[in-house]
Amino acid sequence: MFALWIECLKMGLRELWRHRLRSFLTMIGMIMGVSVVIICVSVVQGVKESLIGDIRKAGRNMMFVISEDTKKNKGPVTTKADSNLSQADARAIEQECDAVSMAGGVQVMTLQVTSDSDNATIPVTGATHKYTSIRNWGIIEGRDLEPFDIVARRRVCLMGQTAERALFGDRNPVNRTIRVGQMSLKVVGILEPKGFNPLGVDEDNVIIVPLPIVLRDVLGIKEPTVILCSAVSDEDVELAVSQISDLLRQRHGLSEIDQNDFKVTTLKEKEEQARTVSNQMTLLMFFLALVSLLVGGVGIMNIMLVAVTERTREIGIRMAIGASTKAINRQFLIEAAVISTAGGSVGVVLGIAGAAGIANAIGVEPLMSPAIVIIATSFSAGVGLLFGLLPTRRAAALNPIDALRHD
Amino acid sequence: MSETLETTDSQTASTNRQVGDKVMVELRDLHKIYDAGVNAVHALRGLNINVHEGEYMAIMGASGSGKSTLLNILGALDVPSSGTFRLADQLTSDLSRDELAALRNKYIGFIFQNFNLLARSTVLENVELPMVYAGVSAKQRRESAMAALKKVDIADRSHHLPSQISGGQQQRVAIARSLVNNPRVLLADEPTGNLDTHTSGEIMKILRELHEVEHLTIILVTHDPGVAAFSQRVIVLRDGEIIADQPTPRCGGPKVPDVRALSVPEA
Repeated sequence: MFALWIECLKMGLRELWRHRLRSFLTMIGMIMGVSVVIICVSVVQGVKESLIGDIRKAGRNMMFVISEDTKKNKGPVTTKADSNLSQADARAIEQECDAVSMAGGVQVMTLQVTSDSDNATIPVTGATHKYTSIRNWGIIEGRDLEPFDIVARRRVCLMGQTAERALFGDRNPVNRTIRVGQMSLKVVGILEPKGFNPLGVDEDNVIIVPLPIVLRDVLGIKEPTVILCSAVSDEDVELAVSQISDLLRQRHGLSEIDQNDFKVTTLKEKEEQARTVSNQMTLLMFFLALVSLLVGGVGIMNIMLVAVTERTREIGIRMAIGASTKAINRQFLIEAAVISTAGGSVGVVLGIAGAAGIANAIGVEPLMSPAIVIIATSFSAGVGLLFGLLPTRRAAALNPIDALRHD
Repeated sequence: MSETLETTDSQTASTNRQVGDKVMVELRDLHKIYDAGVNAVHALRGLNINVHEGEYMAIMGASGSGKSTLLNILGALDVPSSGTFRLADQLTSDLSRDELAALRNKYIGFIFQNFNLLARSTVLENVELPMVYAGVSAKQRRESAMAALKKVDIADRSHHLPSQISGGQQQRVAIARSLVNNPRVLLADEPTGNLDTHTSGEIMKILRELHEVEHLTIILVTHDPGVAAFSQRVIVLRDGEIIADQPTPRCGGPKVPDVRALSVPEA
């Protein structure tokens, strides 16, 4: 019994080897299907992990307080002169909320920046001397912003790696001067490289200047629209959020029926969002890839149907010399299974290689799970068998006399 | 069924060329009707034939006489519409599709006009195939297949494809394939129809040796009196009925009827 299966397997392999080209073309469907499943899922999972990793790196204890225009209900206020937040709010949050370790206003404005040799459009972040500490961002050369820089509105700045390359190339920018509009700013420090943030923005393409410069000199406003805070620890984020909300409601004189005129978001939330979105993407990709697997299965069915017609006489001969319906069934089923598993295996190899290649190209680590490889291969084998069934039945139902006479 | 198939192995090694007493093939009132209905074709009309163990019988007849239909039934490829066909005491009308396949596999050896070898399998694989379906072990298969190929003197071509050897050689391979499961009956359908005279003679010589030395029961369908002359007994069919059943004429005996004269004149 078992020997018969092995015999059929050998015959199937021989048959497929004798039709190498056709077998290969048939397998392409399966190869594509399986490799696409693996590539999609691994890359998307890899992106997810890298997103979450980035968020963790950025600090899960970070919180943004954003000014919101409640009266007109137009969403966050970014450049409005009448921000609901103030630098005093930031100081109050830092002093009165015991779950908050640091807080400082932030205002970002993308501006044309020139050096003595180049110019570039770079996001200029107005921030306090606490910014780098909240962001856990080191200085690799020169110095950080100091309290006096902020208070005195000194014309100094910190520079990220990408901005540095754009403006100064290989030269050391420390103590050199850049121009933003009519202002000259002295570069006092270089930030350590941080890479891309969860939204795919290059964090190193940045210039950090004292907050009042962006507020007063660039935008002509008094207060920032964003306050960046850090909780004492990851576990205290929720407590910090409620303390900040309570404090700001009180400071802004909101009654119990009033809506918040600000919004507090955390990176923890963003992490959850990233996770959810990535999982949805994974699922979507997975189903798309399954469709391609099905298409591959139809390819197998097509070839097997052709094979049955083409090999009618062969089937007749086999029946004449004693092949039972079962034996014919077995032969064609095994051929279908061999094609699909062989295709599936090649697909696994290509999928793993492809996932590594693509992930490398977009700069993430692919996340290969054995489960997905097993699912993809067994699904391809299943599809092959399923689509092999119809042709197989047709072959086994042939009348031996008619089959023998067939040309 | 399997019990009957296995307990009738009573072939005795007799040096006597005489036909044995045992009836190997028994047809009783055998009818075959195609396309039952208005356009029914009555291909076989009540045949009664006994073929004894070790007998060498030729079936002759013009095309349309029913000899192909008869051969299909004898080969368990088709079933009669009515009447009975017993092969080695096994009543074939009782058998299922797969049991008929097993019967063909173990009891019947086929030799076809167009050889019917698997084109993409080697000579050796072709000869091994009946044993694959019989569940013989790979080692045993190889040995039996090589022995059968030696018997028909074609062992040196065992790894060729059928397309790489001549028609006569292909028919030898087909004979080797028909023998590997030690069949009770060898059915040959125009075995020399695609061969030249010289090669035909060689093939007929092999069949005669199988009959004389191995005492195989052989039923051969042909329209060639020269081929029929190798047999012991000739049955002539016309319009699905037996019109002659006689010992094959030897030198000086009555002539083999000219089947062309017996055929229905074409309209």
